[in-house]
Amino acid sequence: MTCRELERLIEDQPGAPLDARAAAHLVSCAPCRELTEIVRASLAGLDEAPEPPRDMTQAVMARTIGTTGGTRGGTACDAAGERLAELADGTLEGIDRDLVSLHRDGCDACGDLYRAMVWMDGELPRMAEVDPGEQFTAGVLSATRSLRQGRLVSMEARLTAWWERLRERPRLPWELAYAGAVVLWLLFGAGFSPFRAVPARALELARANPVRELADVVQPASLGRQVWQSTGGPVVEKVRTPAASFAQHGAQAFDRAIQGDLSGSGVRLKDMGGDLMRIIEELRPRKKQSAPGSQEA
Amino acid sequence: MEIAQLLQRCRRGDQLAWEALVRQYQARVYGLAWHYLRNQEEARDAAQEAFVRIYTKLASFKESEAFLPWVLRLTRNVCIDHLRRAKARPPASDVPLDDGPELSDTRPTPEGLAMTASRQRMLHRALERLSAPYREMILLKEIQGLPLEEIASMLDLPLGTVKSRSNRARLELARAVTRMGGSAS
Repeated sequence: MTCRELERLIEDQPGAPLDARAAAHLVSCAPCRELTEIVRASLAGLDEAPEPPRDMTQAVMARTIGTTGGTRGGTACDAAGERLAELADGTLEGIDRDLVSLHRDGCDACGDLYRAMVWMDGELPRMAEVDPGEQFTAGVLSATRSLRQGRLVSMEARLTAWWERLRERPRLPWELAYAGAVVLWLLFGAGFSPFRAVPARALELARANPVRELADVVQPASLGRQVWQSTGGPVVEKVRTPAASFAQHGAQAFDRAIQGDLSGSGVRLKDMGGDLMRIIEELRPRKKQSAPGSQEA
Repeated sequence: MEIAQLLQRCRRGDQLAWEALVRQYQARVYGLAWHYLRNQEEARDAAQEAFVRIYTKLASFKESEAFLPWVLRLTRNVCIDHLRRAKARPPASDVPLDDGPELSDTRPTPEGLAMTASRQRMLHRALERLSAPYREMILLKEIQGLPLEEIASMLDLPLGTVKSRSNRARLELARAVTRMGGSAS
């Protein structure tokens, strides 16, 4: 083994026992023997070495980056300062948390700041609520009550004034009539109206000849039929045709009126008048015929 | 009673519900006003005005919002108005400040109350040493507990700015407290 090989061995494994080749080299080489003793002596005292001075970090920082780390105003303290709050909140994560924690543990000033922040976190929320005194609620309620009354009064006054102004308008009846027509159209005439089917249904009912319907319903099978024939039955039979015509013309008049054909509607109304006259005519002879019968009776 | 239920009744004009709402939030509203104005009489006026404003704007409050931040935002606006009106008066440093309000505390013993009051007074003095933006940040975030997003919206500042300002404010307050020798006790 050469001196160079022995030095490398001691560098790589300073505490390891030497093999036979190294031991043989030490017997013949005084400088290597001395080096080995120095290394062994330094390793033996390592466990008993004192703690490094507490201000060593600060001294190193001062000599390397030119500031006194661990005192207020230093670069390291500045870097840690704003993150101390996050450390106190527990929102700092990863290597940042480790670095700031390490600095806090080694720096008295930042340690104090950290402890102050933790203390403040417990104290500050207690300052949120402050008792305003006994009369405070009553004062607020009084203020808001008068505000509410004032609002109601002013609203009533505004409504009254608005109605008075409306009443003074000369064209109010026309406007109301127009608005009413619009409302009726919206309710029954417009394509989207929910009551659009109502007029058609009314027409159907009118066309169904309610007089006949009544006869059909009321007409009895036996005894009732005789009563019916001797009283209203013949009358119904006589007026059936003009009544049906009357209903049909009425429906047509309504249709034309809806379509805006007022003249056509007028013609149908005139026809209805004729139907009505026929109904009356049909009723008259019965009265004449019944008169002698009554005389006979 | 849930706040949504209370608000619904208030909107219908229920005076009892309104009274309950006032009682529930008056300490927070007055506390915020006191911290802004640092005068009990002015804080009382501002808090009452804030409640009147809350009452008139109750219909415009959206259910999706949180109620407390909305209340505190209105209160802050009232306090800012008060401060603007008071601008013509001598600056706050020349006006003798109140020692501090009577803080709500649930500690049962007189010793506990005294200790708490002492610590609170020290914190008040430390707060006085902060600049107005830092003091406001401590007030909104640490004392009133508003989330950073809400504060950013309230102060019309970017979230990052609010976050860093909040950290700096806490650091400054911690420095003031340690100078007064309060944290270790």
